[in-house]
Amino acid sequence: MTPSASFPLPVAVDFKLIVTEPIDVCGLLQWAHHPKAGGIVLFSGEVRNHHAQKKVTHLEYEAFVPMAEQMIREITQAAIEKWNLHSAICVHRIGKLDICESAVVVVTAHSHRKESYEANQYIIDRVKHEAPIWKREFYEDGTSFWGGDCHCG
Amino acid sequence: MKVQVYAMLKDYFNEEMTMDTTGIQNASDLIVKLSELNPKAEAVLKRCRIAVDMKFVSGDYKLNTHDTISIIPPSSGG
Repeated sequence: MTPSASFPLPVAVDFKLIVTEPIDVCGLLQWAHHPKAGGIVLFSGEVRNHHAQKKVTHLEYEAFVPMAEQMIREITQAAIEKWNLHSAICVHRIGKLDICESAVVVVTAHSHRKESYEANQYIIDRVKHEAPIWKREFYEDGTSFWGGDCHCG
Repeated sequence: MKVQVYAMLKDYFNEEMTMDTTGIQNASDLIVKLSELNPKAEAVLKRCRIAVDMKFVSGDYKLNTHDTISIIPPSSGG
């Protein structure tokens, strides 16, 4: 993706928020730069190779795409308004993902880091728990499991 | 009414179904009906949310014949 020539609107209106291709992590960070932002936080949720003593080979994500995009947009907008962010974006990938790939990236920019961290966590927590997106883990023994391994309550 | 299911529910139902509305007044009734159609899905269905036109609705939401209803299993994104 090409970063905007001018500084961004707070919310990324032109971005696809559910994608099937690898997420351009650096591109999202580039997009989020803002002259008023002193602290930008970038979170990348990645595919790890283990879960509950089982070796994970890969994941598959599915989404109800239009609803998930709408909810991610609403959640991001809520964070922008709650913390007065200068820019914020959340992009989630679906389809087959290999170990170490980014499944979801959240970028938040504020004048100060404290608000950027808080807003970033707010967005990822709500997206994980509320958006219609589902994960299926595939294990080395040939089995698979739908659902979460979320330990964030 | 048209009913769409996702993720693990596709192990139990067709991804998209047209259902007779007889006996289905509201969203809770639809969950009960689906559980009767496939009892193996009951445990998952009890944890699902229902969306109509991409908005979540409560169990007492009155369903209409022309609604497209999405059965949303617990989210596990991220």
